[in-house]
Amino acid sequence: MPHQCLNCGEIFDDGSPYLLKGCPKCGGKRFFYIKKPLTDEERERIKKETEEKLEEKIAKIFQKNLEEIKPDDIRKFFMDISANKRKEALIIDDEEREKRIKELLKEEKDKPETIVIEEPGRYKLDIKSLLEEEPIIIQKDGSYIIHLPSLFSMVDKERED
Amino acid sequence: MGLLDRFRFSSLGRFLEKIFGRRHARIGIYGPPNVGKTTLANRIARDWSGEIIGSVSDIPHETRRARAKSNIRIENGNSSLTIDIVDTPGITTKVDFRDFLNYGMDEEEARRRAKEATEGVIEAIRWLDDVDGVLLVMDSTQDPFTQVNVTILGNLEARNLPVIIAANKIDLEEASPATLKTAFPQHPVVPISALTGHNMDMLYSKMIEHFGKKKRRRSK
Repeated sequence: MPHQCLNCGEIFDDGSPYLLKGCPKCGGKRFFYIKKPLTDEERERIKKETEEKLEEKIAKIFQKNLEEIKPDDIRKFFMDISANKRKEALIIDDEEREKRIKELLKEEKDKPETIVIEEPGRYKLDIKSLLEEEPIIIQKDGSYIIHLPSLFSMVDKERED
Repeated sequence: MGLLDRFRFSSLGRFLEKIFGRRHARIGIYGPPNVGKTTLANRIARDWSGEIIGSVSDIPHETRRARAKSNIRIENGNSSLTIDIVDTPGITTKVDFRDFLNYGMDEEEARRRAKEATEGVIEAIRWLDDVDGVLLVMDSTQDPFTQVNVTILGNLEARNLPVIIAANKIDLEEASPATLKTAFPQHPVVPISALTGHNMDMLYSKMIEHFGKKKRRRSK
């Protein structure tokens, strides 16, 4: 029962010829594609809305008669919509930025490990140390594993500088 | 080695590069997991060479090894730049196999994925030594101030690597690339949708301008 006559609520099968001819009960020509029949109130509400003339609706939005609306009005209307949308964007000023970056970069307690294995499949990574090419030290249950190649490459690099 | 390649590596080639700017650059695509790095890499590769780089999915950490595609020539009007694209695994501070369980993975597979993702982070960072510039991809529907974003940017600045922030996913309703722009005003931010290709032209011209600059002196 995928279609319902908006006027009287009669229900039609998909592909019913009455969708083209009009409702046999009331002659209505507006049908709604539905999954469940609409309640009477809902149907009335939609009916009322579709009965409103398009011209009147536009006049209501622009608060002008249709003939008086100029391209500029339409442009302004959409500008207003997008301006409202833009306001929602959070604009971050210098002070706010500094505060938030500072908070994020708060140094953690000086721990030697760059990777913590909390359990197989759960890892914590110290991105900052890894990016600074500090040696890879893995901690698991309080034991430490030091990845020697990364330790030596750091020593080599420091010697170069 | 072709004649052109030989020229590029010759001292004269390097000398000219210093004066006239570079024509060939290796660009790393970096960012947190699931921001669309591989989608962007595929978009760039497909736009200019007709091929793709890797598979994408909604599951975080789909890319767990870095993948590269060489000699992609991008053009914009009269200027052009040949780049090697390196698509890297997502960088994160925490990997938890339990996050993958919702995606219909069994526990063993999820744990393996987590381990590979962790190795992927280290691999991504290793590649930083071998790139000339970075496309840092961020999700413009998310809060840009994350430890990962801020830490990577700080490190790129210290390495003196040129970076362009790609504010991705602007096809989504909640996207707010303006927030991203004001969050990191010291870097060029280009809002794009890697998925739909929206505004990619702007990104390409920014890449040619920014990554094709005269060779910088590496200060370390």
